[in-house]
Amino acid sequence: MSFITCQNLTREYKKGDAVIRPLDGLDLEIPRGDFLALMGPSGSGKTTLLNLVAGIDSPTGGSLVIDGTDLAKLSRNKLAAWRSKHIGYVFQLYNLVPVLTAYENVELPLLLHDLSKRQRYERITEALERVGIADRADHFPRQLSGGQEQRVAIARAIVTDPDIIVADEPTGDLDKGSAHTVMQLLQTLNKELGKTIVMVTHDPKTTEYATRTLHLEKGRLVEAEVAA
Amino acid sequence: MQLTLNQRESMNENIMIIGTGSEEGVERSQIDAAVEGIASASVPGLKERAGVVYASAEIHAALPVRESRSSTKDLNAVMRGVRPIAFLVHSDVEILEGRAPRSGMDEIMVGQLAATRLGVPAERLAVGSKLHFDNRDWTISGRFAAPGTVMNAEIWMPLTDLQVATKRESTLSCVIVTLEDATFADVDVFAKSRLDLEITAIPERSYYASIASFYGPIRVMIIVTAVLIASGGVMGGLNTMYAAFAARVREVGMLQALGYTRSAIVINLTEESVFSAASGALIGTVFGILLLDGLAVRFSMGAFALTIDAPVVFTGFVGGLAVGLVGALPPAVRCLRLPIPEALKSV
Amino acid sequence: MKYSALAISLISLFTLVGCGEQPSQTADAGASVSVQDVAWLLETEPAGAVSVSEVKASATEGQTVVVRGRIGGRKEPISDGSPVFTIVDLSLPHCGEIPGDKCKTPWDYCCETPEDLTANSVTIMLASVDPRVGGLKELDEIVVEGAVGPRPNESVLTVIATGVFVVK
Ligand SMILES: Nc1ncnc2c1ncn2[C@@H]1O[C@H](COP(=O)(O)OP(=O)(O)OP(=O)(O)O)[C@@H](O)[C@H]1O
Ligand SMILES: [Mg+2]
Repeated sequence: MSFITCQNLTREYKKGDAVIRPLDGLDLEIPRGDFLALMGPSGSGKTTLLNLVAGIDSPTGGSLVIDGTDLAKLSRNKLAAWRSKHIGYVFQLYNLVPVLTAYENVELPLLLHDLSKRQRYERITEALERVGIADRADHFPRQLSGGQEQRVAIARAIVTDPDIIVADEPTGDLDKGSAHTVMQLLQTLNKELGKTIVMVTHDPKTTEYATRTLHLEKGRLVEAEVAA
Repeated sequence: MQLTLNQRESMNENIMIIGTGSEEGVERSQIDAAVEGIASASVPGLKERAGVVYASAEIHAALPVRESRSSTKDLNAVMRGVRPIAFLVHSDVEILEGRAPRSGMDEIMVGQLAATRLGVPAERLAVGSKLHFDNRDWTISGRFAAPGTVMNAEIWMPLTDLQVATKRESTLSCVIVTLEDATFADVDVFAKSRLDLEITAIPERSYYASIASFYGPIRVMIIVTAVLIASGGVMGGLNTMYAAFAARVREVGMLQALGYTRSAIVINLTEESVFSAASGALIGTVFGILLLDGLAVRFSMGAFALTIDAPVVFTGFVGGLAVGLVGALPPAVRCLRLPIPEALKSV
Repeated sequence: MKYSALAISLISLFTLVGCGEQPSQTADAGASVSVQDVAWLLETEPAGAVSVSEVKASATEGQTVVVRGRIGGRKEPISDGSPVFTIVDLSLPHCGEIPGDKCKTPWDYCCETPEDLTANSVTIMLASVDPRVGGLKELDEIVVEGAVGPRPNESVLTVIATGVFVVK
């Protein structure tokens, strides 16, 4: 069994009589250390899949097993605990808390772990250094550029040292230069730290940093894998 | 908020002797001037110092007063005609400035809240200034305070002067005696056995308590107003909370994505809200004390000060906290009910 | 019969509690109620009672009188903690007897002129502290037996009561 295994993975929404099925019996295996780029037209179910992998949404059918854990079987609180350990989420719109500094934003996920202030300090500093933004630790999000904000968000995603990083259009709101920096950063995390990364993107250029790219359409994979 | 009606320490030992049938309003009472002397002589155990019995013959009258002879506007003043003994019998009265008025000199003395009662600025009743009534100018010879009592809003003047001004000749409104060894029963025995004098004894405290209940509707009105204001505040508070939480739906989604449990977030949000409500309540209380405490409220019988005391502060503060708590829970729960993916999509 | 005196004191205790007035006083009264305190309550009506106005017109100091009247004559004919109360001649209608009068204190005879009221009132003084302990209340018709106190003028008449009978 692979690190992440989706079997007949289905997500349905029922709206009265109508059934919307953004994910329709998807089979997918992601080995550990993979950097997977997901592409596809709008509404094809990319975010839906990503959210299932990140454990913030639950499948309505099929199974999703990550590193031996069947996510469908976890209670809401167990799932939250599982997320805090295994998942780092990078959002398109960064989602930093505006009233907290970069440092404090990165500290947020660490507060769920049993660490001393000192240990937290070390981890936060390390994460900020890795994303190259340690000198902006005291800045508030509004004092940062979009690219810098996304780097802080990536620091927040890696500070707990999760196995999996999920990123939903991480460069969707960035200019070329910033996008390049962010993609390089993700690539380094994948290559040097061995993080398994699942990324949704609309920009074919960004797939160059991934190890492989998959295409979704109407909730199904449509093409054979393309090796990077 | 509380209206403090003349119920101070000294009231416990003061007994009013007023006309039978006028128990509900001393202004209507007319008793024989002789009551003063007869009461002093026949009730044993009244307070006495240096041979002077604490029996204060008084006239209470509501009189129209003008700012000057040429003014056409009548101001409603509550007047009390007294002898010097009144300052001993009413031990709450403290002369702040100037001196007691002398009889026959057209002098008067004003209480701290008399200006509020008349509806004129406080400076208008400064010592040395004048008021006009009974076709004469009267000079303010002093100012006194009797905090928390109706006297605080009164104008005092020599008994005989007020007798003349009200054309009452030799009748009194009441005689107020101070007990020492005597009890209320002793004064009551005197009042009830002297049927010829047509008098009734009432503890001063009960008299003002019954006046207060007579003015209950005003109290109710004030309370209703306060409740309306408070519920407006609560609604505003809830609204603000909803708005504040709605703006943070995405943040809450993000926190959940990071692995925060719903309960942890509810606790956090509630804590935050209670904390800000507490700061708000604190600021409100400080403003309340600075702006409202001692603020005088006028109504027909006199003027009363709003007292913001410990229980009031406590109630206000706890109320504020409750708004924080009750206000936070519904919107917090509401925004947590949203599935995380939807919360993350909200703008 | 000691029995009934005890019963009356018990009843009065219940009335006091029932009224819910002055709870602290209720406790006191309850503690001090004894047969002794209400010894002045008579079980049988004393003979030869005359009206208040009659007594008022003729009685002299020291004379023993039996007078019949109704408790009232002012807003508070009976006051807390005071042994005196006033009664009014039965010939005077109290406010409750005047049709259409919705007075909350019908025993104050507020419709009478003060002169009439004074001429038709006498003061009753008990040895014990509070007439209410004996169950007396406003508008009760009673017959009082006692000695007339000092009369400095014709308006003043106090009966120092030795016995009070409540007419049912
Ligand atoms: N809560 C929901 N209720 C009903 N339908 C939903 C809900 N969330 C998503 N969908 C539907 O699921 C489908 C897939 O949505 P999803 O967000 O996964 O698309 P996507 O591939 O990420 O698109 P985009 O590239 O525009 O972000 C869409 O048709 C969408 O309308
Ligand atoms: Mg999407």
